[in-house]
Amino acid sequence: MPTPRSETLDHTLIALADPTRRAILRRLARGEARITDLAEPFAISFNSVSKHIKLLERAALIKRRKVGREYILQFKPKPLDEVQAWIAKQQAFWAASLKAIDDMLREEDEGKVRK
Amino acid sequence: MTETLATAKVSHRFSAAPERVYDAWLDPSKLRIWMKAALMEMGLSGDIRRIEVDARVGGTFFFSDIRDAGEAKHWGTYRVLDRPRKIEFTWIVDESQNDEPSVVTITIEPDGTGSIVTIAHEKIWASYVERTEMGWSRMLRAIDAMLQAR
Repeated sequence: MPTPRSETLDHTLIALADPTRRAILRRLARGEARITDLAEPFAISFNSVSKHIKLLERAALIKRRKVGREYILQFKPKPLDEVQAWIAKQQAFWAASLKAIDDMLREEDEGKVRK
Repeated sequence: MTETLATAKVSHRFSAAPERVYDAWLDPSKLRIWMKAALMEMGLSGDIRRIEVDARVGGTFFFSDIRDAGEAKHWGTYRVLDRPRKIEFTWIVDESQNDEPSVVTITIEPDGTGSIVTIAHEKIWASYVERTEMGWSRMLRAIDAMLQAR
């Protein structure tokens, strides 16, 4: 019973189901890194890191860009809908807060003018 | 420098001076007015139960309002109180976040006679990833158990 979404979900599942890939994601969540930077702390070969990176890329959890001769990897949180939802919810709340503060201060000003 | 992931960021220009915007965050009677309006804007009742503010660095705050699911509690600790420039506090909505709370930073910059306010709400990413990992491994175990039961 494959649905269009199930493949994406499978890719995300597979990407997150391995401790090295989760560690790579955690590292990239702190900031961009070169592929060569990643191989070292995990004590695994460049080839092995490359395989993990391919699976993470397939899940769209990371993106690479070329800078000179190096590939720079960036963590892309989009597949993690839960996080996206969190951000959207917080932004809506803080935007509503700022608007409400603005309204309150304007009302205070109008009150002063009337007095 | 790379931008921190999982940051909710909003900004707004006020015609009011920085001091007045700053005080709106720490004066309980003002907090009650705008927070009620903000909650109602979000489609909630805006029925505020508690507002407690201990406005000093290391001091805590507690806000709660009544929602369909019951009393929604928010609390945290002030980390920076630099009138009228900056307020930073931890923001916790659930006991499980007490150890690794999210952090809200409010930056107030003068702009003519008004001010520009930016709020950055950062979720501590590592803890989210940890929780996600736990979620996924639980789910995988459940799938495994289901397949074995067949």
